[in-house]
Amino acid sequence: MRKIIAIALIDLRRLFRERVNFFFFLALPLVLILVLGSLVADTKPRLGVVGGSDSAQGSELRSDLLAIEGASVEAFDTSADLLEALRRDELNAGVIIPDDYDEQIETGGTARIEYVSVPDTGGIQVQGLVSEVISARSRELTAARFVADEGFASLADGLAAAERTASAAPQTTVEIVGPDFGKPEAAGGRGFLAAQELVLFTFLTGLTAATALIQTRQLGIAHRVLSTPTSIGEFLAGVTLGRFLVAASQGLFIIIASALLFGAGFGNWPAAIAIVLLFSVVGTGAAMVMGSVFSNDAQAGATGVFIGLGFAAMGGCMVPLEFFSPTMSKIAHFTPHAWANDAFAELIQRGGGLGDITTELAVLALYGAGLLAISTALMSRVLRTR
Amino acid sequence: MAPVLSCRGLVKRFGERTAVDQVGFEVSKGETYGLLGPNGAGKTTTISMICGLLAGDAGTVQIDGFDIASDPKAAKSALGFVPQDLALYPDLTGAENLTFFARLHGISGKRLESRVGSVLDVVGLADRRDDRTEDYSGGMKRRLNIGVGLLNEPKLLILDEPTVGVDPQSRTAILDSVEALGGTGMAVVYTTHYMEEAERLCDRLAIMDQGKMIAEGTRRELVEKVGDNDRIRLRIVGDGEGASRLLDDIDGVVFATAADGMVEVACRSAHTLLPSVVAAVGQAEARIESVELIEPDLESVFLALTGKALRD
Ligand SMILES: Nc1ncnc2c1ncn2[C@@H]1O[C@H](COP(=O)(O)OP(=O)(O)OP(=O)(O)O)[C@@H](O)[C@H]1O
Ligand SMILES: [Mg+2]
Repeated sequence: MRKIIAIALIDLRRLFRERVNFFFFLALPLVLILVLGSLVADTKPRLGVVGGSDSAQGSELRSDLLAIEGASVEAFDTSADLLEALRRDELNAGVIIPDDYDEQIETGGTARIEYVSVPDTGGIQVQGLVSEVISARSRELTAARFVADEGFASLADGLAAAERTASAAPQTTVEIVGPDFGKPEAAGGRGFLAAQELVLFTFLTGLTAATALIQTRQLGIAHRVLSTPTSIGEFLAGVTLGRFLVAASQGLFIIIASALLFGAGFGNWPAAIAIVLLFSVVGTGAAMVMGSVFSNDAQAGATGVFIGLGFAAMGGCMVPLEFFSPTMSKIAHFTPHAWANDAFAELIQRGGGLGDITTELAVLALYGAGLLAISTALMSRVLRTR
Repeated sequence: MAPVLSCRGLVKRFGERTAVDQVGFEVSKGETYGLLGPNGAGKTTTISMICGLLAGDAGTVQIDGFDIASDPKAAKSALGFVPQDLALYPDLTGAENLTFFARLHGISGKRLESRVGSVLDVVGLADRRDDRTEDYSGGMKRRLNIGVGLLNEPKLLILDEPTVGVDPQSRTAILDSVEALGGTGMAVVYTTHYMEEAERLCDRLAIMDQGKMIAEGTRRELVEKVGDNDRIRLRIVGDGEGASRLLDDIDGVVFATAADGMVEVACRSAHTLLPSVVAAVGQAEARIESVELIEPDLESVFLALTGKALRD
């Protein structure tokens, strides 16, 4: 056991001897979370409003929307302008109040307003705010209709009365319609972003560690180790442990640092740590396989970065899996990344716990065990035949 | 006394090529044994099998009485291995490298410190202990590489071409320390393709070529086996032809020739015949300017056995 630890620690010592590695392993993921995080979650979401200014009810709604505090709201002249701004990413969402809004209400039906948003966390936040305004309007209108039906001269008189009494049956008469391609589940802000980065980096770090493994063989150190009373099993266990410690400490560092520095939330902590640890085993296993398949460290390094980034993209670390087509999503789930991301999504966006991610954890455990078994077999063969 | 190393019938094939073919020898305590052979002779492959790094196709190896295949830990505990290629972490210091390998030998605590310290002294790197090995000179790296093999105070030290690519100064230092180690009672296996090193260091040696051991014995035994003559080479002023005729008649001289002021005498034992040779030249009224005694070396043994030179 002492020898295993000695072998594991020598790897860590070598890694952190290079200052630049501190940057790659610890600082870079945080910098990325910070930069990407400021794009999605730092500024207030922006909402555009069109229409409503020519009619009584319409302008009530319009001014309520313009008064929303959680977003920066801007009025547009035409819906074409609004859609254009949305397309250029200047808005997270827009509300279009139809010209016949008052008529729809007057004729006693349901008034439909159009809500458009982009599928990001900003768009989803705005949706919540807009919904609040609209349901408040709906309650007032419902009350007003009730009062009007009971004998007030007009809806306007009734509305005035309703605003005074300010209570009524919650019967919605304004509905949100329109192309809404954002799902509330996509929310989660920095927590989810950090989780995606974590999955990407833990795996990538693991793969690049394969180069260290190959160097150990190239330098003849593996042979020298095996000329001491140290078995192949002890040697492989030591190397694997060292790699695992690197990957796991990076993963844990990312979740703890992003929680402390950016207030990212991961929901259930024990479950989050379980994902990090299991995914680190997967990264380590992948590195060990690469380390035994390749005999040239430069080749392994380049391939490692390629596979690491490719799997990350495929597995939903760059674009969330929610936006994948069903086929793409199936393909994505060949990568361990997709399972880890799913597990994090369950924790962060749906408040799940360990019990809710047992499938994901089991799949990750299988991946890890499989890769380690393959690499151990390959590596012992490589070491025995020179 | 049981030999420290005993290997028998070692065979290793790589595909079609038989890299090691029925190699076997024994090395006793305090003995330095040489494996001499050209590039590709199979020296490193033999060593790898002895150290249990490469599974052979046939043969047995016992180190300190323990079988390398069935009891590798015990066998390797008695072994110090110095590989042909530097096996050091370039980004770690000399002391860190030594500490790491010492731990793998199960050395810890106070003994760890003292072993690392004394090995650094032996290889003359005590003042560079905290420098990264990538900043060492070539010779220093070689010395540290040897030092790692000494950490566990092995009963058997195996050095695979430890002087390849080393400057003359470091080389002398390495040869001196190997000589000293042999003197401490360690059994040493030393592979080289430098005939001079083998002659200087080895009590006994094997000559290898194309995977086979083609001869084994002390230097003297090998030379006698080939049956080569000693030579006495004289530079003279005067009648060379006359001198060579007189020399030919001396008992023990095989033949003598003269050309361009040089007389060459082939004989059985140059040392014992030298006085009569000098006297004969005096009789021929020639004057000797210089004398050179040439004993047959391993180079000529190798040439005689294989029909080719040891080094290309
Ligand atoms: N892993 C291997 N695969 C195939 N052939 C090998 C392997 N290792 C060694 N050989 C071959 O075995 C033969 C002996 O090689 P070896 O390294 O033992 O020679 P050597 O005597 O140590 O030579 P050198 O003085 O150059 O170090 C060579 O022909 C070499 O090409
Ligand atoms: Mg060799």
